[in-house]
Amino acid sequence: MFKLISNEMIKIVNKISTWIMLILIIVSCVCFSGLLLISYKQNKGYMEERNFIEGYKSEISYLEEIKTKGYEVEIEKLQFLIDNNIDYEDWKYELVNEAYEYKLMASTLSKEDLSNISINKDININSVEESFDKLKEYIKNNQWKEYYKYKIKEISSLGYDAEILENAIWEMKYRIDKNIEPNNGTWQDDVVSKIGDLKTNALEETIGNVTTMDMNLMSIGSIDVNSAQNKIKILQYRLENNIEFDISETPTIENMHVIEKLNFWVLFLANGNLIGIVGMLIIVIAGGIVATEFSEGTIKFLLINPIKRWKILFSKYMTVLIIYFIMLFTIYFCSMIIALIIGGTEHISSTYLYLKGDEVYEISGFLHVAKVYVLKSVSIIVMATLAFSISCVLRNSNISTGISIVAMFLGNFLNTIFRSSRIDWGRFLIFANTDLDAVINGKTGYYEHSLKFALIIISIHMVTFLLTAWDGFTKKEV
Amino acid sequence: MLKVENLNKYFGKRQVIKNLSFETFEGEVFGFLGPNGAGKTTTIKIIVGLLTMDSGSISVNNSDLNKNFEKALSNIGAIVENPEMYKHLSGVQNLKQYANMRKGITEKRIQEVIELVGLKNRINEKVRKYSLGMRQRLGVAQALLHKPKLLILDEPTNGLDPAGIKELRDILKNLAHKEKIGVMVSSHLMSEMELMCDRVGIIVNGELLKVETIEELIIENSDSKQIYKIGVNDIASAINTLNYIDKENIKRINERYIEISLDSADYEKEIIFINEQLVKAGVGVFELSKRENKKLEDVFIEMTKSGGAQIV
Repeated sequence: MFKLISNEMIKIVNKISTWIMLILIIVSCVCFSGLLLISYKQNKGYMEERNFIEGYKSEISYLEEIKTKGYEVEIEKLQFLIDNNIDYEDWKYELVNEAYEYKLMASTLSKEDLSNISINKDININSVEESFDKLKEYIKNNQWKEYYKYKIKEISSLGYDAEILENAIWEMKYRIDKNIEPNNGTWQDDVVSKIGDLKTNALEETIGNVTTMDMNLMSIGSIDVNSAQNKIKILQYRLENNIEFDISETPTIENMHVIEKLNFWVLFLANGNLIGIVGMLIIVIAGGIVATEFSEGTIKFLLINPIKRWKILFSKYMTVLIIYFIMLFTIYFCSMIIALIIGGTEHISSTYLYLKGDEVYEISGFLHVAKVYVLKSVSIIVMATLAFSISCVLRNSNISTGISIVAMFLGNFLNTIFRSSRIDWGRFLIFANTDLDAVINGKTGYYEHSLKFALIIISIHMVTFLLTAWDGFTKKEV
Repeated sequence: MLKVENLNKYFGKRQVIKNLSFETFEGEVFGFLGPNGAGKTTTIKIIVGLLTMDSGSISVNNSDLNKNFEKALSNIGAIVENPEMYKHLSGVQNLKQYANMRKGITEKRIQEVIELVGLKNRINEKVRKYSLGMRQRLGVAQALLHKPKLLILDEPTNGLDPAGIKELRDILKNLAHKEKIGVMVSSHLMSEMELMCDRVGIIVNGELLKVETIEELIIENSDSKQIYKIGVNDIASAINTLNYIDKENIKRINERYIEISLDSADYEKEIIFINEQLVKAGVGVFELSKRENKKLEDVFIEMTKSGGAQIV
């Protein structure tokens, strides 16, 4: 059997087309990383160009033109932001807005209205000026702790539930406790603000849900709340265990614009998208490995030997799998090297954090990428097996390759339609089951879509394909 | 060696092999003759396991093909139809492919066979660059690699030049007569087979007409009469002189020639007597020639005339 497989390997390795395929993979790796680098640089250039002071100034000139009610106060606020060099993302920005909110109200509303509101908000008109000065004082002395303490006091006085209150003030409390200054650029600052955002977002979701009666929306909302809570767990794990970098936080290419730094892991993970190319190529090989023997007439040469036909078939299938994994390794190492060249070695020894049940686990980043590759391989191997079995029956490589590629696209398309139109039997479609990553994480869109179910569907298809191939190859006459 | 019994094969409803039985022995070259579409290649494909039989039995070196496929096939070396090899591999790589599928083929054996078929200088070139003749030689090398007890070659002289054909003939005869392996050669080139084979089986429309040695076949199909052509300067008096011969045995071909059929037993005396008579009657004889004996080709065409004209 080993000799048969090595025979098949020799045949494939000696084909020029195989080498062209490998070169194609390497070239696409390089090109893809290059494109990422270019788009990242452009993105970054755009971000740097966008000067916040320019933004404030154009806002001022716009206000001076239209002169809405209270525009003087608005301009004063903007001027204050310019003078103190306060960015949109600065903690002081929020503070300034708050400080001027009262003043703006005072300038736009009549005294009567103001008194009505003041009663509701439990704020004394007289105290407006006073608190304005106090807030300004915080800015001048960079007293963020004092500001947060003031805010905590204010929010606590609104009389929310303990749980909601806890979520609302968590970030400020944590920063005060651990002495993490906002916008100081450390990773802890970043993690804390992420948790804070998630908590307040979740807060809005839960409050929003109470008002909506749509059950569907509610269930979607609850999923989001769940995933937000999972994210919070992982982020808190990072704070507790002092983990500076988490690979699971790496943005995918769909949201390139949020990439702050094009590091090793961004590039390495993004290159995983190239597995689709390997998929195409392996379908071509799988569709051809049996059919070309027939079209070249060499099948006679192969079958006049005292070897059972199923052994020859099996060795051919194994060869397809071996070639696939060679290609996969090529992509893996090629992307790794290119990512190293472009991204450098920063964070290279970081781990990937994930949640299993309620516990947070760490795995090596390299292992995680390998796992992603393997999970993505499932659908490719299924399609390659389809091409292989069709080519055994029809003995034509073009037709089998064509059918499989069309099936792949059409199948994914059908799957999307079924999922979005909530046709439940769509789950029996092989294409709904091959993305094991989605199945494991419950993202396939089908209710209670278990891994066991997906594996059964996949095995049924694989067995059918392989039996068809076996029947076509061993029983038919040459 | 090879024993085929009551072999039947249908392609759909059409019966292409009809109750075929024959046997080949070690140490002989067996010719499998038939016109195109007679079922030669089909029979060979069944023997080497490319096609299945509908009924009948085949055994190779006492191993039944259906019961003991691997053992039966391990005794056979074959080229079926054209010697199609992997064009993107070199000659020697092709042979190594084959060697991997057989047991006990050494590097030395590979070199030995390459030398035997005379491909030593070109064996490292890609098969794509080979001529048909060279591919044919590579095919023979491949078939001989594992020292088979039975060698089956389907139209082996296809594409070979006259020198190549002679060489192949010598190789095959040598293998059969000296190394005592059984050789089965199919062809529709009768003159070629006549020189190469010890025994022939003639197949027409899937039926085996005859299995005989070349000599037997020719003698059997020869007429009992000898035919002489006589060239004379006066045809009228010549016929007049020979009027004692039965009308059916004498034929006027044209103004200068007549043809006479003579009994095989005594034809030498007869022709001397006829010549004397003609000379005595004053007829000038300028030519007196015996028509050649029939060749296998004539026998074959005669035998297959009924069905061979149309491919059924």
